[in-house]
Amino acid sequence: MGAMQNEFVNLGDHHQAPDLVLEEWISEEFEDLDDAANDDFDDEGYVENDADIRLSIGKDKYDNKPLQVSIIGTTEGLFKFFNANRGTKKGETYICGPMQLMVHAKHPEKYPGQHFFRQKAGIRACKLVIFDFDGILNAGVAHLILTYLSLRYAGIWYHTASHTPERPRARACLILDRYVTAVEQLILSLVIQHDIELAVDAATLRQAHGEKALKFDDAVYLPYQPVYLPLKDAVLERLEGEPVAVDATLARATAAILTATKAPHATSQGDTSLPGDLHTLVDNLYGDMSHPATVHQLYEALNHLDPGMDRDSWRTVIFGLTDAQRRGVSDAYQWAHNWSRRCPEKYDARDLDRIWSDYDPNGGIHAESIFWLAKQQGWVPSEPAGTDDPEEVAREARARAGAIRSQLDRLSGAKLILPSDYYDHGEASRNIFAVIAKSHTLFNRGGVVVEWTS
Amino acid sequence: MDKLTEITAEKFVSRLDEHGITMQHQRGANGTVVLAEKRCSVTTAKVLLSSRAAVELLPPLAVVSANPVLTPDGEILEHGYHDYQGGTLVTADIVIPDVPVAEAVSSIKGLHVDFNFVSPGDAARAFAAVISPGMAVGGMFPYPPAPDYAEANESQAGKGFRHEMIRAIYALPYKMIAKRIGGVGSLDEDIGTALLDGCLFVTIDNVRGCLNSSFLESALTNPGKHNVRVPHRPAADVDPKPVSFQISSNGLEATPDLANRVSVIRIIKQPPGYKYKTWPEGSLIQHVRANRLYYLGCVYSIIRAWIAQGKPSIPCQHDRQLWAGPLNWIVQTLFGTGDLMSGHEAAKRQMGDAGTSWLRQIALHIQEDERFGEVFTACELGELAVEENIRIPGINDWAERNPLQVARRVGAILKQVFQGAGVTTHRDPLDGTEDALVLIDRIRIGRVSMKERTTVASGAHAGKVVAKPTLLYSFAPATPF
Repeated sequence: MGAMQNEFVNLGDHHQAPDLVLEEWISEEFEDLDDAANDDFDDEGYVENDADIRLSIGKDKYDNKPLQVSIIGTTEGLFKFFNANRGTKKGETYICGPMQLMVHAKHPEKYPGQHFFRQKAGIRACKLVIFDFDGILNAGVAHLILTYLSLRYAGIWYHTASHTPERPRARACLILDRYVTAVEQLILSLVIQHDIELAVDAATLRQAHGEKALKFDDAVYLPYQPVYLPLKDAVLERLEGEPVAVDATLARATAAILTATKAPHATSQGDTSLPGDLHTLVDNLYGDMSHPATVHQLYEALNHLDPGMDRDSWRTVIFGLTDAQRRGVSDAYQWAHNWSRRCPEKYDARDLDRIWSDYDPNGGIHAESIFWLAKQQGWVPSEPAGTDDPEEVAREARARAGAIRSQLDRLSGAKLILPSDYYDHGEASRNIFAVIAKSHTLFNRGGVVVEWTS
Repeated sequence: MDKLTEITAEKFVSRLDEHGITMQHQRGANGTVVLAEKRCSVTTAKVLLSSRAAVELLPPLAVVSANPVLTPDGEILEHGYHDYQGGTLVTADIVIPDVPVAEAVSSIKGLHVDFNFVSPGDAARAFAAVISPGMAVGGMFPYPPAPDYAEANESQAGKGFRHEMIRAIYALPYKMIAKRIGGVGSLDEDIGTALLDGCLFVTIDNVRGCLNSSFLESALTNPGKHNVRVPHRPAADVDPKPVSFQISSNGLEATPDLANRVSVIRIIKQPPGYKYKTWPEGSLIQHVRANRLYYLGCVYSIIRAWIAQGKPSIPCQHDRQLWAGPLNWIVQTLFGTGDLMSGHEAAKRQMGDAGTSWLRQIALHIQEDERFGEVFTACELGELAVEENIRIPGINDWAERNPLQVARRVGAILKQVFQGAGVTTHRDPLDGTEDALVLIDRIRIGRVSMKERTTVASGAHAGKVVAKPTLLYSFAPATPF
């Protein structure tokens, strides 16, 4: 290992060397990286100064074993790092969040040994949030965003390979005041994106000029997504503000999502129980199950189970499916009936519906309970159709980010307050149907509530 | 299949989850009331669904179309919900191509080259039947278009095929109803189900005998919403005006009211060995499916041309003038055909008249048996009906019929048919006998009165030779148009 005590290359000494290139790091400092032992790390996996920013850096989009680097956690440090590692052509030299030293989670045979593979299973806490402006109306709007960010945050701003003066394209990397988990990173990104949208009045821009007037690429909110560095002649600028105040920003996110409604007796839970609610929110966000591979596995696990099982286990399965539906498995209710019907002696549609509506999200039973039960009964999950094709990975990530984004929108959007002793039926139904009416998914057809199904 | 479905309380619980977080006020610690996440129960869902707010606040829905909808102002309603004619939902995001009008007319005519229409009027009505659904969905008629009643001389003549071709152009939800004789459920129930499902085509296929649907008649007669009731589904008020009805039969009896409101399109089966046009995609239907947007573009271009001319109308002989007038203008001016309702009176009369309908079936059998040129007495026609099991109107208990009853009934029917409208007669000035001719589809049915000399067998005039009038019937093909 030589001078290296852990997996991170500390670039503090190299910041004065503008000609530093990736190959030199590999040859000089990472020759024996494969032999690195996990014992060298503390519980968190980090031993160096928390003021530094740890990152992965890869040569090109085919490089799935990026180098782990540690740079000085200041605007200047970030600027020098980006400046020193500019790409020569599009798709060359990327960064992503720091990765763990581990075997390849999906294809250990294809990629043997332990490496810092760029993979979802290997993500670690990160200290940057990145914004990829996939569309900016014009140079004026770009300047507005740059000014807004520069006055507030520490970090850098650069033009991407697709940038033209007429259609600006840029990325911004903002430094955080502490390391964050992947979910925190996602929520921070969404909150700051929302701030930027408000600052430049994105709604008006989009109304006048379409969605491309200001378009963010959500995929980079996920820490394993590659983010390409600026090309040789691209504009690279410093953002001279302060690091993002993580906790304050997260608190703002929670408050936005859990603010008190207009209901007469509502109290703001957001003020008093912020951490717990945040975790619930995070669990919900990260627990999105709408990915086809997950849905497929859940279906497999369910069908491995015998619906004639004892009532407690059966109820657990139904609760698990209720949870799955909340987390994006749209067919779960139908599955519950179809699966239970396979035991005609016990199947009672009304009983099932009653159990279904009794589900309590805080009751400790989740969709994962179905996997657990199935494994108890000998189910072996089939290998999901994963791939390391960078495009496929990006697509997957984008789909996931989109799903989480929708979930966040849902959570932050509508509060459907059910009638109770404190809230009368008329008021409740007016508020609920006013929300639903806007979506144009349910309709009144001659006095009957209907939906269009394909 | 695409359709409208009612939201049950159980479904509503999960739909709520898709729209936001369901919360409820609960008593927390220290007696405070807090809002906490709470799943909606089925009972609460039922209460919400039956609330006035559900009806008042949810957008009304009258039409669901997979195609952009062309309005009478020439505007196109694109993908999404539109507050138009009681709520219009366009479910697909597609672009309908613009087609020059002359090309559009030629292309739609080209789809009909293999149909052997009984008269030019039938061809004109067939062209109108392609255009009419687009106008109906766009709200250009105050009531449903006249049902496209396809009648053929034989099975496999292509009447169902023409209906399918029209449905293929529009690709709108439809319901195919096979008219049942007895059994569970009625025709009205099937039509009601189709309307509740949001179908824009209702096809009643291969009707045999009498089509008697009070709901259909009411829907075609009275503009506005109709209360639709179907077992196991909540009743709803539905306006059927965007719905195109299609009916097919080889010989339909209908009530006079229904007969007055349909558009009869008669075809004759192509002779054996006829060379059908070949299409690059295989069959005509496959061709239309592969190019449906193009053909829909043809339809819309033609309707736009009509709108551009100020939505003119040419009056014609039909009960539904607000439907027939515009289409008469379209077929005469753009397609260059004759009057839309040419030859329709005879066809309509035949459908509304059980006797004429029966005689038509007899004539088709004679044609099939290649017995043109022979002469038949009424008795022989009755025997033929019995042999071929063609029920004679007026004999209620068909199983218990007797020859005398058959002969009398057939005689009465023939008398009635030859006294009716559309019959050409010739009276012989010498003996006072009258010959008559009636045209049904493309078959001429002649009645010749002959005085047969016979000797009286018994009674006061026994042994005398008298002239007894006998009516003979002959069948022959009419000259094709």
